[in-house]
Amino acid sequence: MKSVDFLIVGGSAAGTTAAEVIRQLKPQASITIITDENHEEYSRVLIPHYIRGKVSREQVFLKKPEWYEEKGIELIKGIKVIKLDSGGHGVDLSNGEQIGYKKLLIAIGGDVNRLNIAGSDLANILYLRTIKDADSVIEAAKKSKKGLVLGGGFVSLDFATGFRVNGVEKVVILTRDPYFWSGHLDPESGRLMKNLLLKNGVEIMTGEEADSFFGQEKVEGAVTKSGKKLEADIVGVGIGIKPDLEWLEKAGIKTNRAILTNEYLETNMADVYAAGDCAEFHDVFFERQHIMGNWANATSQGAAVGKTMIHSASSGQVGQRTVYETISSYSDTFFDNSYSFIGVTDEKFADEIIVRGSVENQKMARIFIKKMNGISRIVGATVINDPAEVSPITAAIKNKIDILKFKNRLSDPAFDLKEMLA
Amino acid sequence: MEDKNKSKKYKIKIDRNLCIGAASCVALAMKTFALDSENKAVILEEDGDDAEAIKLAAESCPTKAIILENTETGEQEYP
Repeated sequence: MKSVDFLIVGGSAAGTTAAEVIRQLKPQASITIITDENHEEYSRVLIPHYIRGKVSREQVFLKKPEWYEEKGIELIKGIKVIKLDSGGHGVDLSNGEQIGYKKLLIAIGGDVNRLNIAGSDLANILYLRTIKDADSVIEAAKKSKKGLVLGGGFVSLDFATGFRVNGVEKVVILTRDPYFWSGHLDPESGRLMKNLLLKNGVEIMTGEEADSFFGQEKVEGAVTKSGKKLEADIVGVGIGIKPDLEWLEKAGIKTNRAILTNEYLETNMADVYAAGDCAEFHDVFFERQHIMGNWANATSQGAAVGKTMIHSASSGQVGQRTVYETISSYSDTFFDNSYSFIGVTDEKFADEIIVRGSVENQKMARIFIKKMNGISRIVGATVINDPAEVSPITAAIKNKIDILKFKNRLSDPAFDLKEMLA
Repeated sequence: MEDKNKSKKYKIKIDRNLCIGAASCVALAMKTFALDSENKAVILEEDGDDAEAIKLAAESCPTKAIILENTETGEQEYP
């Protein structure tokens, strides 16, 4: 059986960054990345931009085959890892081969959740995660007129924008929630989102979900749970992602919604680590287990876990056991608007939420405040169409600033948030 | 100061048209990069972090907006 020093399952941001950090610090170590996709590393962040025609397909790719050769990192493409024997330090691959490892990193990201209702296997019902999915969305949207998007998350905006840009005349987003992004936004911010989307030919239908699809081979529409019949010749489904955990659970790896790790991204099994979207890590900043599914998080977790893995592999002589600590944020644009989610934007976690701006001005921020260890801290924020607010809010979260004396002024848009940092 | 200048390996440029504020550069080299009021990356100090960290930050950028030029040779090293 072939055996390597560092085996990495998953070839996207977390896995590739970890490989690079390991290579920087351990020039002689053998490193193998296994990916179930057929490509070198590419930018998932650019996928929505690619669908909108803002970047070429070539620009989406971040690494060329030569990069792996130069770095001496082996890349095995189009192969799935199907079994882990953590005691024997080996994995089984979908092509029947086996590989042994000294240190194993799981960085498999997530797979899209698939709908399983009547008609859900019809053509033109699409998902969005990989570059292959993006190609399908572009191809189908160019030939379609009426779009339907299921789900109320980030990806539903990518579908809606992508459909419209590629010639779909009208798009309806169906969400179970009482209003758009109700888990993160207040009703006012939700109203702002609704207005901004309407201006761009996208209607949000709330409190609804699809019960079944109809059509011959290709989808022609959906019937909602309340009995509404909606015509659509293209459907985008964005109902979340979940890592494939079954093979890991069978091996005794502890999981919850994803792979459970401590603050060092170590799993409960010796020499097995997890990073990126598939890791539910101990967040030292807010003292909780947390999954953070974005690019910046995946790369910085990859970098941190790379150092920790080397440290452990070289009896502490190289690398450093590294606590993963960051303020997570997620920003994107839709049509000509922007939004950012920073830190913890969970209403149940916060003690208080302060609103700045208004629907009328098309700018709105919500600042989440929680008292932790006797200090009134900003723990998170949602910001729509006001990117200048992002940096001072992030700094206030990071520096755990006591904002008690500013609290009454935070709702006033004239109050300069940078004053908190002075 | 002299030592610091000596160790400066890269001249860093940021293509603001490409930058989308994903912030992986900030996460990996926070003494070198920050986001400005338009949510775009800016350079705090070209040698805020060590050269490996800066290289990693550039390579981690999902839009390849960070351009590294070797200060000695003047050649573009990334992307």
